[in-house]
Amino acid sequence: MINYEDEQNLIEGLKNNQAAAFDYVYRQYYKMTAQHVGTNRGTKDDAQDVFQEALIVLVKNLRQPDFKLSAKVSTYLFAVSKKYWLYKLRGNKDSAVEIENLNTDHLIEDGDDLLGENDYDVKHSIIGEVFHQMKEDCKELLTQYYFNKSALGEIAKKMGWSDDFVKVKKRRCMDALKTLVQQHNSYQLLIN
Amino acid sequence: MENLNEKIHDYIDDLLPETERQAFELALKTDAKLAQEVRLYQHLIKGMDVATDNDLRQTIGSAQARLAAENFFTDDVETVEKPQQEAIVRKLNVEKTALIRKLSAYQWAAAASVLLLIAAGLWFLKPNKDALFNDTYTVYFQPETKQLNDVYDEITSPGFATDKVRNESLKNALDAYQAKNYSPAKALFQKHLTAYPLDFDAQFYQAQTLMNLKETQNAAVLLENLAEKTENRWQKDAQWYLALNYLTMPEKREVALNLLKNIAADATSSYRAKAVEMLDKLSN
Repeated sequence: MINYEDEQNLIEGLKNNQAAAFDYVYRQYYKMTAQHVGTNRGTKDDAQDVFQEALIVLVKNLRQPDFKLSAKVSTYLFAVSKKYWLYKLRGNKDSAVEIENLNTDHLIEDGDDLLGENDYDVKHSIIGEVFHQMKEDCKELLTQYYFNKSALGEIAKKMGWSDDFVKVKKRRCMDALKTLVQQHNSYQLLIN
Repeated sequence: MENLNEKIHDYIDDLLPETERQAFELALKTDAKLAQEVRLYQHLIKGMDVATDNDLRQTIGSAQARLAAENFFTDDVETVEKPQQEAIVRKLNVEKTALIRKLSAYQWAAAASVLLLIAAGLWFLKPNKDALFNDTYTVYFQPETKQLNDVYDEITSPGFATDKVRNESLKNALDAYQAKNYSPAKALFQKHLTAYPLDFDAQFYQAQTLMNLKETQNAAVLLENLAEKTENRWQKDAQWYLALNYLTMPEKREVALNLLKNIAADATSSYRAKAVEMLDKLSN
């Protein structure tokens, strides 16, 4: 039985996809995020989404060879969760009144202190969220090309397209993703 | 402008010949707008990387599912029906105890009738599972239209239409489908599939047509094929619609629930939120 109270064990567990490490993180640290989101106009589902995205940012970074975690797992997760939720709130015009009651500078600083320039950041998580809203064939094409490193000709064959079409399609899909991101309410926050 | 866009794409994909790459990088140093555009595309790729880490999302999804099963995420809110049922059960137990203590043999018969009536009342309070599953199908079934334009685009774009006869035949069937003329659409897709039995686009929209005609058994046969094959773009859509179809078939409900659980754990599926919501409703 691995003792995840030991921070190093927990980090190794998360890096190595150990289910028990993920359970531990939820049991120990989720409530804090849920409480923060709940008291700032979020629902239970919002809290789960926010925590999940923060956990993805954390684990993706932990798996980067050069990444050094400069805070406790709990502090990092809470900081990223707060930053992520702030982006979401700012993107939601209905929440304008509640935003005034938040100490937003403090929230932004929390996250920025912990996230380096080349790290996976909240902005990438939001781009990821937009990516999920794309049409299935675009998601499939871009995933195959950029992450499975499949050749365009190979993708064309799989999808039943011509070689000429797949190249144009890939460009259209990337441009469509760019447009969707630019239309996102938090776009200005993302690019600055 | 189109050329520049193409060049940006080739640059981020590392497809520019060396001399062109060097010239482009020189331009990046002096053209802030161009540099910002390239940075945005690079962020997009990194963002997609976060989104497509399927193993990680699967692990997190499983952790959430395990904890949800323990009611870790649920608030302590009881439904209206549950306290009502519990109150009746409590009343039943009190009455039963009192009856055991006090009633004569003659009175036992009358008491048994009372118990039967109360039990019958409880049975009626139980939700009707068949109705629940059928209603869920009705509420959640929405014909797929998001990708229809893409299919049209592919079969009508000049230069990309590789098989004109196939495209014309598919277009006729799709036109009928889009106009919601489902009976003619069914016949046209059938004719098309006789000539092109492996056309996944036609199989998918024929399944959609059959679902609109409430022919769920026939639709399921086509969707089972599409849901299994990884090399077609409809796989995830097919899994979702297949789960919906199975809900209407009492013998397939367990399979439907398992399919929905898989979709709910698949962070890359655009049907994930709906699957989670549906499972939640069906479990109450």
